[in-house]
Amino acid sequence: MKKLNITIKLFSGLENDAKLTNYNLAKGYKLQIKPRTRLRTVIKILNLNKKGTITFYRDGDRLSKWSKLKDGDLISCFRPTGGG
Amino acid sequence: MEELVGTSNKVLEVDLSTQKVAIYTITDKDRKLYIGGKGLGLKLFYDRVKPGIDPLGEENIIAFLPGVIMGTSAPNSGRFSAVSKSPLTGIMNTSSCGGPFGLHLKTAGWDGLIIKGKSEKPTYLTLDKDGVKFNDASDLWGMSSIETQDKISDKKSGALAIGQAGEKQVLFANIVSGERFLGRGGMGAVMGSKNLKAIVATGKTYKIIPKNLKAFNKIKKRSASNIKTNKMTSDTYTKYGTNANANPSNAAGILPIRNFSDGQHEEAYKLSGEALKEKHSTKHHICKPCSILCGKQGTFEGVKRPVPEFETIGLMGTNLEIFDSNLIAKWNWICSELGMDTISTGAILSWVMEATEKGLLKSNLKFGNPEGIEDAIYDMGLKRTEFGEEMSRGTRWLSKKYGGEDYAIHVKGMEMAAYEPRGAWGQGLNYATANRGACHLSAYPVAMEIYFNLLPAYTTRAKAHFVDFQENLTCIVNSVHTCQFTMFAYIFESPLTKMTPNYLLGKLMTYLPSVAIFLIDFGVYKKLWSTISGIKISSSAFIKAGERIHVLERYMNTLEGISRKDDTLPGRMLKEGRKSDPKKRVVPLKPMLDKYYKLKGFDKNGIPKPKLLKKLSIVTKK
Repeated sequence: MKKLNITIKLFSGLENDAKLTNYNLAKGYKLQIKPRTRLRTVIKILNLNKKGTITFYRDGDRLSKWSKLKDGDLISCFRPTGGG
Repeated sequence: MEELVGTSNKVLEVDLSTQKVAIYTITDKDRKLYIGGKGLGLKLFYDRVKPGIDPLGEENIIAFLPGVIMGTSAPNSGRFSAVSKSPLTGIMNTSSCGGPFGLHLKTAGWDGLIIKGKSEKPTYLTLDKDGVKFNDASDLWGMSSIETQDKISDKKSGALAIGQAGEKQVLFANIVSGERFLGRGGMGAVMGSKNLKAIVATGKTYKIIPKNLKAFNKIKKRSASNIKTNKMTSDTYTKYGTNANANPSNAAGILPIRNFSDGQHEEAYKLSGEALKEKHSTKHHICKPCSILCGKQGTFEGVKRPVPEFETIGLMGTNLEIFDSNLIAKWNWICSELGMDTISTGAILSWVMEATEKGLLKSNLKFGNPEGIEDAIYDMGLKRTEFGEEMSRGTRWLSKKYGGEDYAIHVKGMEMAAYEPRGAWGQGLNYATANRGACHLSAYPVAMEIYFNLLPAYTTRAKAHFVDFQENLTCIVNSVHTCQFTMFAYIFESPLTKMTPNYLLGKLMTYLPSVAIFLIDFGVYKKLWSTISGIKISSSAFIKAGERIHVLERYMNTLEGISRKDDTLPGRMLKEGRKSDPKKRVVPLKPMLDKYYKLKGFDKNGIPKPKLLKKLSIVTKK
């Protein structure tokens, strides 16, 4: 079965929580997953499931943990922030 | 050091025309009704100034008021307010600043300073516990805001000053205290119109002692603990500053790109807090006292400069399609020296770029090209060319002359902050209704819609409720007066909110907003204010004071002609989808506005109803 290629972009220090060394902000983290994988599985793979509230976006829209991922997806993940 | 228990309630009233100084005493009744800072400033203005005056005329006044908590050991207590009528918008303008002037004003024993009239020649004021002195500022005229402060103040005093933009009455000139700003709406032009270059306060004469010290220490401990345990106020903002917003905003499609024609750009990460921290070795550079530590300084091409805040990064960076942080930091510093709001400056530049592209005017400014930008900033700040003089009037004026009003990104004449409302509809309602124009600090629904993952962004549901409530709460925060970022800590770290899972909290806020708002715990603000001032107040009376402050400001604006026709958004946000949004969504403003007026107690035209004014004890003017 052909695997799906996705890219995860981690902001506000989440790359440290995911214990990713040499994380590149521009390129993000590339991951291969099985078809029909949901976001929650990826969250578990990255050890982010117990790191408090994290928001996920895909193509400018919020993504539920139960969403199925597609080949070529770019997922952005960030902690609560606010103010400017 | 002498002790000052609670508040002095003494306000210096300085008339520049006659060089006379009076002392006004704030009554207990007004303190309870209007709290302090912004609230009292508006009331003092309302009692003294008739509607319809020229903001740059002698009749306009400018009031500076430290918060009630200023000078105490409460966290994030170093903020003060300014209140005046804006030359940019022609309506009321209030502003908050974390510079050193406020602390010195307060600890010199003054709870406020009102400046009236107009000096015959350039003047600066010095004040201490004994009162005010008038000084010749001829030698300072023409100096930058930073150099002026260096000349007239030292470590024992706190100053505020205008730069050349204020002297030239650029309509969005600001006032600078230290390296912090009364940023928006042209307060600097008001000072310039009065020939007032600077004010230096020498304080630390009095030690501010809360009236109920034991209770104050208890609530201080809780507030400090909330800030420390909240991930945003103790980690994200501490590490990355306000530019922590850049990457999330880009991901959500709400970062201003190319004069707000889009909300996402693949190079935006270069201006994120994460990237700036690494590239420029950023260190803390903060308002004092502060425990959030969001302000940053960094090394830009070998020069130490303040790191531009998120709004500046948005308006002078991504919105111009410029992603070179060295250049943006330099332009930011030039604006600081000239004393000019970077949000308005950036928005004007982006409008000129688009108008040039569309053939409405001729200029050398182009998106993505830094060439000509520095010259354009000086042109408008110094009014040194004919077009520079035109740019110094803002996007509303420019678009009325040249066309292109649909993409002149302002509300009521004030240029929009760095949150694209087509991706956060509540933020759109906030921009439309904010009393001073397209201001992100009146309410802040975008935090719940995007950054905290609580309210769905693309729905009108519950938006009016939260804009209404946040406007009232923000008025409280700016009157008590502390940093607005404390709201994240004090509200989200309250036991009930913290115990409720985010998913449930979001559902409650979305489907039962009135219940969710009723359960919000803003007790820290009430207790800080109450233990310092010694005035007992119920939670409902306290939030009602916030409502009163907001409605008074709205009522004052309606006396200047503001109504529903002005509570709108730029045509682009109502008619044109963002380039990267396949669904081409726009802000459905009307239903949110109808609901908002109803909740507020305004009539269908957006005017506060007599019943509401009576309920809030606001005495009407004819």
